[in-house]
Amino acid sequence: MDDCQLIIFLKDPKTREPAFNRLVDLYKERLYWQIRRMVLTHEDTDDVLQNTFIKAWQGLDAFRGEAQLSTWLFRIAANEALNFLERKRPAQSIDDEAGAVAEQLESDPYFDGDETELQLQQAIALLPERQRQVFLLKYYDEMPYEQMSRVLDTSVGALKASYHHAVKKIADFFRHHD
Amino acid sequence: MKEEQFIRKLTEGGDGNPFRVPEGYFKSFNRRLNERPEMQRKQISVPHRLWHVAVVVAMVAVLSLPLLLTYFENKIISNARSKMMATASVADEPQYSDDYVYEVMDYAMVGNMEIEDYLTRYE
Repeated sequence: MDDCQLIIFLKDPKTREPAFNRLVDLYKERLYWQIRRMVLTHEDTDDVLQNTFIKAWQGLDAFRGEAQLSTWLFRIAANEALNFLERKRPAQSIDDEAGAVAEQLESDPYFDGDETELQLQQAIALLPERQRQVFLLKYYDEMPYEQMSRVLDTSVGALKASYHHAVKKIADFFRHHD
Repeated sequence: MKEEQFIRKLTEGGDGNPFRVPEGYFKSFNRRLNERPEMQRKQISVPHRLWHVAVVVAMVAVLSLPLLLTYFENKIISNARSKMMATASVADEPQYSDDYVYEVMDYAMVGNMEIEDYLTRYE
């Protein structure tokens, strides 16, 4: 079923529920990983992912179909993850934050990474949240800049610059912690 | 980009994804999502909504009927009583027009038999 057909079924009250279940099936895993890399723990990811789909369900009437369903959902997920981090963010120094991330991941039963992977997650966590999103979408999802521009509502040029700076910061982090 | 390659090379020893998901998580996700109160159907079909409105209006009408009857019953009795107890001449007393009385009877759905009963009760 392509986007057009699915949108038709989503707009019709009689077919909305099964169509929405189909939408969830199509996108839940991809959205899960997009969110997980931002918020790190499985429990927090589950909360944000559910909130993403709830927002999508409640916003179905307002969805005009101008954007692709994937872009629309990625945008909701990106905003929900950012909002979650905003609410959760404690007042602490950058060094404390890196330490807090390391501690959190080391004690997380759903984190299997080695020392290098742990350092990478620490470096990513030190990026400003918006820049972190750009890095994650590009580095892990290999999302094209044009699509990312629609998801994050930012120009392609700004995204390229943001990614370039993020990569440099992470590489420098590794060099300083070698 | 050179630095991106540098990062990828550093982490290429691992399997690429250090995060794990609990067993069966994605299988049960839809069910748990649909159990959320926010996911209940928020759109009610028009006929169903009209039915709710009709039920509420009918309940209000049924509950308020005794109150209306009591109100007009008291009004008719007090009017009838003041007429019978008057000592002044008929010409000096305020006269209730037939139209007024008939209107009140209509509201109270009171018939001639009931009127006669009320009037004779206080003789």
